[in-house]
Amino acid sequence: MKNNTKNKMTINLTPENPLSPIGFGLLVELESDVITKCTPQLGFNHKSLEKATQNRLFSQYIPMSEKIDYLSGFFCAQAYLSALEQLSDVELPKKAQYIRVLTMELNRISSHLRWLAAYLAGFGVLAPANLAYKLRGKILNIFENITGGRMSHNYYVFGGVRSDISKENLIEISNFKSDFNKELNTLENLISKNPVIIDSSMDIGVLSTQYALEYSITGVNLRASGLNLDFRKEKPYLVYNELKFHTPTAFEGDSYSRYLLRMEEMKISADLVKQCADWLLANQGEIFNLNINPLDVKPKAGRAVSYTESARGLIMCHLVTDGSEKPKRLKWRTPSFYAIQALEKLAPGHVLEDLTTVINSLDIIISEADR
Amino acid sequence: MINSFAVAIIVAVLAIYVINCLEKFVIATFTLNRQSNKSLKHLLLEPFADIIKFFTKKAPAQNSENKFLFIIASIIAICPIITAFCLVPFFDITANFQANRTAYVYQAGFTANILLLTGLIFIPAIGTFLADFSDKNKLLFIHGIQALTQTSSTLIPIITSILAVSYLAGSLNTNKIILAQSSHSGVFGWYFIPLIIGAIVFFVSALILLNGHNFNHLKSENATHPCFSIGYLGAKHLPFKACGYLQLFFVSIIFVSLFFGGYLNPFGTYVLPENFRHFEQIFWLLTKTFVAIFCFILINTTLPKAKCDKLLGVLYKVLLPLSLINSNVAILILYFTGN
Amino acid sequence: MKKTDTDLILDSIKGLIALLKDIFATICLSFKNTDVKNQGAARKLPENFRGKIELIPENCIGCETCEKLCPALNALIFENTKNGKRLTAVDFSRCTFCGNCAYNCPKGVINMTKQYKLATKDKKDLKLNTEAEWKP
Repeated sequence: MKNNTKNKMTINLTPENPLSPIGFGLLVELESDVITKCTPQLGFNHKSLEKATQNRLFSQYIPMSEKIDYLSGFFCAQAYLSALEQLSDVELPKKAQYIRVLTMELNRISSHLRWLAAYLAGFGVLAPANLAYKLRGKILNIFENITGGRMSHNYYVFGGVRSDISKENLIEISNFKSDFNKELNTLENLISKNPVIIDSSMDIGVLSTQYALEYSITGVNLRASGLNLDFRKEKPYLVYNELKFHTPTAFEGDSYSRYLLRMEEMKISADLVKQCADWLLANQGEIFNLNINPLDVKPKAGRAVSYTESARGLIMCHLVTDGSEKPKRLKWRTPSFYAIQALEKLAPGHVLEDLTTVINSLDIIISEADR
Repeated sequence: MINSFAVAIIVAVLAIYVINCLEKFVIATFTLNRQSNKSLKHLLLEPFADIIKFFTKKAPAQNSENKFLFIIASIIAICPIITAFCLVPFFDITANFQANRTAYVYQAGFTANILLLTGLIFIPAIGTFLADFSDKNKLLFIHGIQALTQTSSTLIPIITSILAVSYLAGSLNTNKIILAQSSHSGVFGWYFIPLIIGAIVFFVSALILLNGHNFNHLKSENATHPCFSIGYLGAKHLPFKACGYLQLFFVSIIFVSLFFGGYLNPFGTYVLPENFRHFEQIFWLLTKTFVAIFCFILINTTLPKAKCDKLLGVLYKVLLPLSLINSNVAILILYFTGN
Repeated sequence: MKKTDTDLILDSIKGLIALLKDIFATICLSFKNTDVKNQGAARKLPENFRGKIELIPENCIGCETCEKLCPALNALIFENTKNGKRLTAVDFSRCTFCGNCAYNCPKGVINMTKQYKLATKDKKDLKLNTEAEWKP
């Protein structure tokens, strides 16, 4: 069929439509089953979390900062507190830094497992998706034993962490790596060599390095396209320059390489967790800096920017203060916002069935894109 | 006439109930979701609770693009396929038993049983397409067209496999095909040994037929991604769910009676005395059917869904030539055994 | 990379073999017990679990630390007594169970229990002390 102009169609996928992706809208133009143009529409989940800082004290905002991205509560709290600690020139004790790194790496694993379950459910395989959820349940149990909450923790305070991890919990955490690797291997044997999944995800959603840098994409999506940029090594914060790990890279940039990279990252994070737990079992220290009162936080006037590598990419927190007890302006830079914009370049050229695969492989959380 | 239709409906409801429980059990066990079948009591009593919920739930008003098609799609999906219960070869009707006079009367008019049965299986595909066509959602319309091409393309390999069997058996009547497989050696006289290629082609085409639709009206009412129905809320989606299960039932009956000997005993000779022989034949047919249903459900739940263009490629470029090779094998067997 | 037709036949054979391996692996997996220990309704909750709030209003001295730390701005309900402002109730339709008030109260007025089944049929029941009025 040479003349395709009669088969053109425009579909408006707003969130009310049950067949649309969760949380954001897409305006898709089709030409007989092949997508020619795709425009994302944002703003359905705006909660004005940035304006809310202007009515609250610094310590009052910490539980709200975790809700920017509900799957990476520890990363967002760390980003906010790091900016605050830069402005006040506060030094964290060593044990608090190790505890923060331990909880952040566990959070990375649980976020990737949640992504894996959603990605596999998009293909229709349900047994591995349930297995991923059960693995995540173990990590949430660990969080509940340490902090008291499974997804909203309120564990970091200005100057350290709130309470110590007991010895039984530390022993359980240091045994976590071996069980986790075994279960992840059973998952991989079910999926990674499956020809249907390889066929449905290879060469789908290819993101070149040039477009990735134009759209300011960071994290796994950028590393799968060939550029090795990890902010834990570029601008090291906490104790990452004392721990031993490497960052894997892929070169094709399609959905299959993003999937493989996230599985590899989970194993590296499990290794980091073990290193931190071994250090904590061997050393003692203080939990938080004792000269701080949570009610009396008054940093000097100025600006601070903090860099945190979360599960989805780079989270930056830009804080502007004027010497009073409430912040003047707080700006969050979240990675999913830029990943959604990149759908303009990724989606065209594919068949309509591949759209869910492309969207799921980018790991988009709408709560952090709209704030 | 009225009596046999009532019997057909009662048998249909029983079959749907049993297949529903079996599907829930298989899905829950093999997708590692043990909470769903906590105990036998939960599993067996849940369909009754579902029925009460669907008929007393207050569904919102529906505005579809075309009201006539909306209503008639559900009727087309369910009514023709229920009548197929008359054509199922439950037991041997040409033998001289007392109880089968009415069955003989209704089946005697149809000598080409198999073709009518396969035709009745493919009619609900038109029903689901009309259901998608009458919706305001354009995405559902595209998926409806894809599903219709997939399911109607599976007809060709299925029909050629059936014809290959009929060369060996000498007729298109289900009863005669089954009787042609009976021999003293039992299992080794069945047709899955000489026509192994045909059995595989039929099995794979049946898998594609049963799992064709991306957004399944058949599976559940408001389940989450990837299968949910949005047009028919409440009790109106029940015809689609029922027709999905009945398609599964009839396809496995055809599969079993063509290649695995239908109601025949695998040992070759009958165990029970002559008066109770039809009970034994019903028992063997139902056992084999439920093993086939189990295989279909297991494979459909554990495997991911392949893309539409790949499936059509496999159907036309791989399965169709294989089924023609299968027919050649059947003709060669006829030639060499001197028929 | 476009695939030719001969590739399709090889792919089908590989696919059949992968199908059989996959089914075998799934059946083996279903016999293994993958349930997580200490999970679900029978879970033994840890000591620092943050559930429903219980108050001991007699100990309150009116320092307003809890009000300055609560992120949901009007979840805590105060009353003006002759000694000053005292905490009397918690509005559970706004509380996020973060625990800021409980961790920082100097007199131990606010305690978090292990009760997490808090669903009620009436919005007015979602408060702690029945004397305080529910305000929308």
